Amino acid sequence: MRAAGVVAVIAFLCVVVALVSLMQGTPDLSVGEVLEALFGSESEGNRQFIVRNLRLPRVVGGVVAGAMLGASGAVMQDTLRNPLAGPELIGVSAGASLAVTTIIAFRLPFPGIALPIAALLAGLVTGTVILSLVSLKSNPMRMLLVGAAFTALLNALVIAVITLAPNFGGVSVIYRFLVGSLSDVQWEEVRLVAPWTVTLLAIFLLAGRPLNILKLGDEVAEGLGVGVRRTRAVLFAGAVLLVAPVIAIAGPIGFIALVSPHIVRRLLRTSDARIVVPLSAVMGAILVLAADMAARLALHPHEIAVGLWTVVLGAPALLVLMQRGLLRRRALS
Amino acid sequence: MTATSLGTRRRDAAANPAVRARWILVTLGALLLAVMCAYVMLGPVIFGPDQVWKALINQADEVFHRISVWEVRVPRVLIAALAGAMLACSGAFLQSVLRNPLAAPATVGVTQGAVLGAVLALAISYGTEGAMDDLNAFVPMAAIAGGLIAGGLVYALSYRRAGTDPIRMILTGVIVAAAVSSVTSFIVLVSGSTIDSIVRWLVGSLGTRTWDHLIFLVPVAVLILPLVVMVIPLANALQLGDATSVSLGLRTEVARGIILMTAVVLAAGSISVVGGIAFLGLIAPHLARTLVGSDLRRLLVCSALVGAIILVSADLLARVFSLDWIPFWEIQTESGSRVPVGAFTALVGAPFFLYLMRERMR
Repeated sequence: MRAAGVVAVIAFLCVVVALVSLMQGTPDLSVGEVLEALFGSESEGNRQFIVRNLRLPRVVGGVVAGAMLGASGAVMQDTLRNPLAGPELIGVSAGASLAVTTIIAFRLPFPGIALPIAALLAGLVTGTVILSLVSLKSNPMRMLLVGAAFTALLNALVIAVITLAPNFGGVSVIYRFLVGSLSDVQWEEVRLVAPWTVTLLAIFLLAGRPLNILKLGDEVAEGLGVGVRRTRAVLFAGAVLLVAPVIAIAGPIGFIALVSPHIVRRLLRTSDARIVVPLSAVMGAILVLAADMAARLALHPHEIAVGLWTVVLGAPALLVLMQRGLLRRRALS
Repeated sequence: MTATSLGTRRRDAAANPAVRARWILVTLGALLLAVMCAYVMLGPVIFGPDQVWKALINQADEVFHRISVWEVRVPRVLIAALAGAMLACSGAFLQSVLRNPLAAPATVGVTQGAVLGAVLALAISYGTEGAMDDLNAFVPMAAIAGGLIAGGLVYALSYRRAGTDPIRMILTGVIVAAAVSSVTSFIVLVSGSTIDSIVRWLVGSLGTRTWDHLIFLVPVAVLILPLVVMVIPLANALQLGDATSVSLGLRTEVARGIILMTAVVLAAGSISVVGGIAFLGLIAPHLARTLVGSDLRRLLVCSALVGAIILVSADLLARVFSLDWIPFWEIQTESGSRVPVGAFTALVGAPFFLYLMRERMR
């Protein structure tokens, strides 16, 4: 009963946050006006244009990005059996970001469709390199430190690429690739991500069972007839697959993937991957939308990149996780 | 040096650690001088030694030579050497006192705190005029305050009754650093600054640094020097472990506090001028320790030399790498749009950090 209640509340919250972020801005609109602009056939063209072409793509982009990140974090944490796993902490995001930056900064002749694919390949490469440096049984903190070193390295390279590129001036562009920002998301970008949401559905439908089995430990999983190495590799690739398009359109928005699964697990008091993965997606969408609203409204004429908010709010959450000793228990197992 | 090699070479004068260290220091000094000379000679225009000399004594063949040497390269190489030396010394102090091989200004949050302090001071004093590239007397002070607060926070969060666990401390440092850097980015973004300042405060860069900036670096270095000399024996005693140093009559917590503050001031002073240069404070002391051992009297001098050599040569590489002659990139040669030196130190430093972690976790 509790679970159903929580699910309903989370879903409701997501819709509310989406509506509120459609209302905010110049001009501020009421709920009725937003709904009318969205669904009404003929209203004042101006308002309809603002809602449908300026705000809606950003909200939809935020929902999709948050959902993919949240699901990806849940999958990674269970796959690697590491409560600190997340694309931004194990270097996947930074690697993908470097690839996208290089293509955009040097205007390499790739079509827009190729951006998520390049991000995917680079993310897979960095992820694999980092995972090969840490064994899964070692202290989860170690993966985080290795990931931090790689992220520092790759971020420095991102900045180097940006400084080398000809006439690549926009400050917002730098922040998009370093911390993540939704300010450039329009329908075109949303269209770029849309096909990849198929991955999201596939993960929801197919990954729950193998994830639950992987969590039992390698020996038990082998005993149940699951090829541990292969399953783990496929699921990890799936998780990177979820992150890549987000980075291509919005950059490496941090901490959403790490925090959403933890919130969901805590709220529902379950770690059943079949429930946690989809709900982490919804939770990720809520968090990204809320952070993006803060990004747009907090210092109004200026817009603060959404990724900055998520890091400022997410880092203390991570510290709390550490202080509670949540990690040490896992480290011993 | 192992016991056996010490035994076989006992009669050899070079095996005496003090003599050996002296030779190493002299060699490093010569190397630093050589790198600095190369730095002044190389660049978009390559000067011969005679031209450099003429430019230095104000007898250059062309005005352009004098400006290039005297107003661009010489101050920049001096800043690089001094800032590198200060960062490296700070790292050496942190590693010895915290007895943590992974400690460095950037891994315990001091760097990011100092950058935040500097950026705050700049934003307050210049408002939104976009003048993040300049300096005033408050900046180094704010950087020191920021470094102390962030470093203290990390220390407090990672402190347990049994002292600080090295890995835990670095992890806390990394997380606090991430949050603090985001706040820095906020401020840099809101104050509408140039790419140049973004690059400097986020990865560290020597671009557009001139005599004006050296003037802010020197006083910090000069003022802190006596303190550095005074705390060396304390730090040496602390290295022996808390129990031993207590029995030597040392109040360990007080001594540790003083030394950590010295380290923060050293790091923050250099950061307020060149920005948050990554990993230098980690690598240089390690290299120095393999060269001269862990006696801080030698270790500090050696770290300073190694740090200066690394930063000068990294910036030399960064400048050479962003020259016009790389044909199709159409790179602008204003100092603002060059590859930041911080990108180069990160390139070397991140693999080194991983290597240290691997050693540590064995």
